[in-house]
Amino acid sequence: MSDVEIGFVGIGILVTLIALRVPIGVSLIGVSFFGIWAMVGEKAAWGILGVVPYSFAATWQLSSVPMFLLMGFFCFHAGLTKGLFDAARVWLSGLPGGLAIATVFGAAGFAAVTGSSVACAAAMGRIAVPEMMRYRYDVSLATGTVAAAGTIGALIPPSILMILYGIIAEVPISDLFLGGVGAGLLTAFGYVVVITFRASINPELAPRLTEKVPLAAKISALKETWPVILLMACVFGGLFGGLFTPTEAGAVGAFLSLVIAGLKGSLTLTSFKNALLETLLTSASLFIIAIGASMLTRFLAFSGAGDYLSELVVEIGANEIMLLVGISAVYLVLGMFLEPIGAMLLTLPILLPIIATTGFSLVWFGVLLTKFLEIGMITPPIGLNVFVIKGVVGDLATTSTIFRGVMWFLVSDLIVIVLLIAFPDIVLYLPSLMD
Amino acid sequence: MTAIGRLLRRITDLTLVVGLIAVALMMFHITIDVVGKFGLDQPVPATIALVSNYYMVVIAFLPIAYTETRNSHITVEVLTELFPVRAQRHLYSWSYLISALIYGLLAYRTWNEAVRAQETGSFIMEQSTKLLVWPSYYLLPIGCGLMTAVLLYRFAIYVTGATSGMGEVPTMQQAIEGAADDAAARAKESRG
Repeated sequence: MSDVEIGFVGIGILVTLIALRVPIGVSLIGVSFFGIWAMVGEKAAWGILGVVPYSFAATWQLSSVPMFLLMGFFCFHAGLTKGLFDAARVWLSGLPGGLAIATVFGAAGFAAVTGSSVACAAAMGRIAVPEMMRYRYDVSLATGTVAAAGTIGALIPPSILMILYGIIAEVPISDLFLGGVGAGLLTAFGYVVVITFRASINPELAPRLTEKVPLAAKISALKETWPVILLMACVFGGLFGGLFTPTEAGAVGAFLSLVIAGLKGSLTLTSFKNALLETLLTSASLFIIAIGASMLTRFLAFSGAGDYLSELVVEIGANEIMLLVGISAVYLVLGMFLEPIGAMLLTLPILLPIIATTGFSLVWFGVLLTKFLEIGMITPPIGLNVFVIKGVVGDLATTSTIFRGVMWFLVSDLIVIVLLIAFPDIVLYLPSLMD
Repeated sequence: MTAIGRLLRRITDLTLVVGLIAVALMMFHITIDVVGKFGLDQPVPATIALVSNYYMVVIAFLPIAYTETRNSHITVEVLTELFPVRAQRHLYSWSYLISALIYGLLAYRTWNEAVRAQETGSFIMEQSTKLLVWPSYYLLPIGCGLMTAVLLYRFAIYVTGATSGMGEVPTMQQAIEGAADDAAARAKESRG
């Protein structure tokens, strides 16, 4: 077998193992180890197995992952979403579908303190769904809104997906974070349009609220958003102002959210321990996959399979638009079945060499990739955000009811993708100000 | 058999506690360093090296075995959940053996690497502080070795049918609960 053939056989075995529910990390490490053995020999295989795990994990850059995770979990347990949602609610309740729009605003705000869309969806779901039910909102609209709005969590910084992408693609994480702001806000805007449209066409979906909130109450509701504003100012002020590295920003953010939770009286020893535990388990299960992906990158580089694919792309005369359409199709399909970080770590070793031959900005591509993977969080049959909301609402809605509610938001997401491709400056404008 | 499980549980619980402390300490340590750097012009020495070579290595490798006992390693069930529950149980149990092989190789190889690092006395210089890093290399064979033991134990429980003393989430619990949820949802849907 030639090296390229071994490369493709390796990918085939990898896919088979993963489909048979062998843990993704184990599959990646195993295929890379034996693949390198078959191509280059025993010595290289043992060498990589001995060096990569330590050298990948023991890095300062990667340490921002547990710190941002911890910050998000503290904020979740501190119940910061309630203040955000209440403020958005009193200001927006007069609009058609006002509560659902308030949910999107609340999620966009919470997205600025959490890096994961599952956490964002779960936190908003607990607060916003009961409120929408109280005002007789359509179940599918209410639950679909929360599931979709959660995806903003990984687009607006911080974002665990973007940190891992940044490390693998060797792109500055603060550039990716700034790029995510545009994509996140555009996504939120699209969702607001969808809700307004649906609620205007069929007012029964979202009965108008008749209560009038006095201005004084509106202003005082804004005051309850101080923790999130304070966190954003410190974390992003420090990060984008060049004072903090991402790790420092995450650690300071985690510490501040711990203090805020303490001041609000919402911190118990159990919630403190749970936040640490969730951080630890999430980090450990991500890192072993990332280590595997790093080994797969080497395996594929040895095999030349990536170059082969790049040449193939050139040979069939694919222009950049065709390439992007192809990549979009791949990720929309993968997103239907795979968990996003796994999907990203599995595909980047194959994709990055191809992207490198084009003129695409890696920052822009990272944000676009995050958007694709987040769409995967809400597409059936496997949509993690939908499952999380199902867990939060219990018997109120079936998974298929929630998926039905999500469909409308997917239309808006597809338009957002087209806009991000057509106008890369939506992503690249903010990072360009940094330089 | 049960006694071995109880022992494994004690060790994984211990690694968990060390991991939890590492996450909390890492946050406090970096925060103090930041405050010291900007407030007092006095950063904590060797913070970057300590975070990278100790906290991160603890977080990445020590809890691997505990994560396994919670069934929290990331897997893809799209295809296998279509299989009958019994077939899933057999398949998943055999996959413990595949995982044990890979983690066993990792444990063996990273042990060699740790011995090598100790012999050369690996250290890092940060500013003017010297930090020995070779001890952290031993965290990898410890984490991977414990994971191998947990996986082999789970496979042994499957083969012998003995009662597990490890307190792990059963191999099939999620699948059984998932199936029950789906059935309940379908029943509800058909009712209206």
